[in-house]
Amino acid sequence: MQILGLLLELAWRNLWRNWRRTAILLLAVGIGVWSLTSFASLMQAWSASSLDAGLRNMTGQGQIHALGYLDDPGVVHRMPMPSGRLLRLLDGSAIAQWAPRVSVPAIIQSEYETYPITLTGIAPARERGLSFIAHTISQGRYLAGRNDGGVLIGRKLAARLHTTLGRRVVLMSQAANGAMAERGFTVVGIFSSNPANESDLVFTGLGTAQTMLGLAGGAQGELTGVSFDLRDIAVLPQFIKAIRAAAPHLDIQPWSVLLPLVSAMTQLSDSFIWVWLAIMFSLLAFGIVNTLLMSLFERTRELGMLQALGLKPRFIFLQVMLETLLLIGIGVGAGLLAGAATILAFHKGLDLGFLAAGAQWLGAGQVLYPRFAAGEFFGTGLVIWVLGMAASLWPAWRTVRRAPIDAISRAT
Amino acid sequence: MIELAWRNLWRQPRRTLLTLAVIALAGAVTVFLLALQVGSYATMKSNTLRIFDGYAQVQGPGYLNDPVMRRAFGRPDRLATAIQDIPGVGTAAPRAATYALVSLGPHSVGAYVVGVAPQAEKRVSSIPRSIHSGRYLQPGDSPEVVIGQALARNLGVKVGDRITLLGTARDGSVAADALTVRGIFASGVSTLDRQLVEMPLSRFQADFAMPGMVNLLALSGNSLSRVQAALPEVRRIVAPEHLVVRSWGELEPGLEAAIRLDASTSMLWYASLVIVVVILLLNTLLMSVLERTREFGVLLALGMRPDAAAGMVWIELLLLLTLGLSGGIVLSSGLVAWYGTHGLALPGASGVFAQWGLPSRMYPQLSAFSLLTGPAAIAAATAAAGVIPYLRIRRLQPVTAMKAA
Repeated sequence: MQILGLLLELAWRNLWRNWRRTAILLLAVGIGVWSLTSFASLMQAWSASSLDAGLRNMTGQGQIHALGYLDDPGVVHRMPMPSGRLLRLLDGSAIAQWAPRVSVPAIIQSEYETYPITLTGIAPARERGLSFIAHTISQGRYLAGRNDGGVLIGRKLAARLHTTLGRRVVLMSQAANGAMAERGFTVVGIFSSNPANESDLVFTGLGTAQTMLGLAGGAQGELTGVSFDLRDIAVLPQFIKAIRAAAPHLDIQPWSVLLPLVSAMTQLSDSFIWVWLAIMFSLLAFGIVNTLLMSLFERTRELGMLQALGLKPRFIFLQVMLETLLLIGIGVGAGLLAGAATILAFHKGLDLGFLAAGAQWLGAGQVLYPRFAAGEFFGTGLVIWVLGMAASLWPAWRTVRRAPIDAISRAT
Repeated sequence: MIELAWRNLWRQPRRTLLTLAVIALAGAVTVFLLALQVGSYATMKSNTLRIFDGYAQVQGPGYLNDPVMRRAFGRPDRLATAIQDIPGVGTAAPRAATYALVSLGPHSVGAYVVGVAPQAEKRVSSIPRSIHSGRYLQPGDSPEVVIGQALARNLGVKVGDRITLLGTARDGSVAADALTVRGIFASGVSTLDRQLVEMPLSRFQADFAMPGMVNLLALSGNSLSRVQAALPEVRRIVAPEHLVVRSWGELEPGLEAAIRLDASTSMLWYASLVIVVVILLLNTLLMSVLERTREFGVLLALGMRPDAAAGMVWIELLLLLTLGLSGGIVLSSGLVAWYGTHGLALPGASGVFAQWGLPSRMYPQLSAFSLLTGPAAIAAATAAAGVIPYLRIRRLQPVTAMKAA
């Protein structure tokens, strides 16, 4: 134990004998670790943002539909208002929010133009917080209740239809009896969201849509779907299982199935982080080996002397390893600090500025919120540290074997 | 001088080899990743545009933001012939388009109805090739349409069924027609499969009261870049008609924005890579200079000018860079050539690319740009960093240097 302390001190002093070299290597390791951690957190922020945007974009964490609706969204595939066990689960403590919807392909007409859109009847109070609609109204008002007879349309659609607040539009869609249902609506609100939403989505009150489409029968009418958010997204798989058991004749899917693009993007960025880790590490490994070889080469004579004085080869090996342990450890520590500082600097939001249009098109928000994920953060540092130690095995081992021979055979 | 530098390098073969490995690896990584990006951008662009948009379009001035049938222009054939004579542009396909109601029995769906010239359309869009039942339109067809797969399913339509079309004509009157479904296509793009109906241009013009008029010309050619290069010439031809040319970026702003976003974020990654490489190289170089302080002292004492001594070290650095980067370029060209033909499969990528109708493999593309940009950045940054050892040597005094340990 005593010798370990001695070796540790020796290793520490050796590091600073050539402080310039040590400082440069520290800088390299530090920048490597910094770029890994801060970029990883940026990419996670990106994933989180596109997930959030995707969920708010009418998806929610999960959805319930009649079988066949997802393939062929329309009034043909309708379901009753949740009741019994399903309703108890939805109203239970696991669920933060759920909302019933009637969503069908429809045609909107103004005095001038006709466009195909998706008409969704919503329960306005229940949609607040679950979907983007309530907080993106830029003109006019949000829907007042289930039987509100006004419509909300997107800014882009309003421009295309040459219509505005207070004007009338006609909506047409296939009703439950197979005939074409047609109804006039007043535009009461205009929302600003991403371009696809703005030109494709139109909202009205749930009751109004049910009456128009012939879904008002029974006590509460019929729906085409339910969207829900849990209090804790981590328990989503178990909850989906429970709810499937409660309603075996319905199609119940989590967001990862409903939004394959978002889930693919998350996987892709995760795998890219590891590719980048491998690249950065290979570069650093060469740097570490090179520096170590150099510093050991300079000390050949000294190490030979130590051995001649009776220091056992395994202690020399240990000393070299301690040196790298300290060197890479400090570098990793500095890199992690810089990474943490970067994350902290941007934790209030990183505005993508001129790149925001691309982000929006890819389904993320304009502002990213990098967050500190301790596991991954320290994991990256640890991986670099351990791999760096592994890279130093060869020079250390080589020195121990060759030092006496080199020391004797060399003049200097 | 070069020989001296060269010999200096191989006084420490192990160090030189390790340094070369760093340079080669960094060079190879930048070349390969850049080739992968360029390749995937190119496939994204050309695949997206080839499905329906074309590589560029000629339109009326306000049509891009307000695509309504009213904004039409006449004499498209004369324009198309003039444009097709421009080298680089292969085809200018005339189209007229509007939104209308399509029904079969009680089912009605809103659709994007496009009048096309079948022969020209085949050279601009991949939809004629993606027919999965029936056939595409032929010259001479008249009351006939091809429709998207999802649209056919929503309407419950099979090949041979007669559907009715109901819309507003250009003069405000009601446009109605009965048309036979000749073919059903599956383009892979869900909006098109759900909304698009194509019919012969002449029939469209008759139905919607716009004789001899079209809404746009869709251009194509052998490659996007050649069409892109021909656009100024196209612009010159259409300007007297008060028409404008829309490039691919204007037709697919989202795709352009997405590419710009990806390119700028990857610049961050490359920058950090180059910084790390420069620091590692600087480390080696500085060490070798410090080691040889005494030697430099002797050289200076023997009458070598400080400039020359410092220049020698710089030449060493340049030799290292040349060797390492060419090694990296050779290595990555091999990789790019292999993956360029076999494709690189990425986990989870299939969903991302399906959106643009792409396969789940990426094909890197070798070009002067992808081959040289990364290595050039590394070389420039490192050569600039070489100023530090250069200045250090220039400051050396022969006597003190020789006394150095």
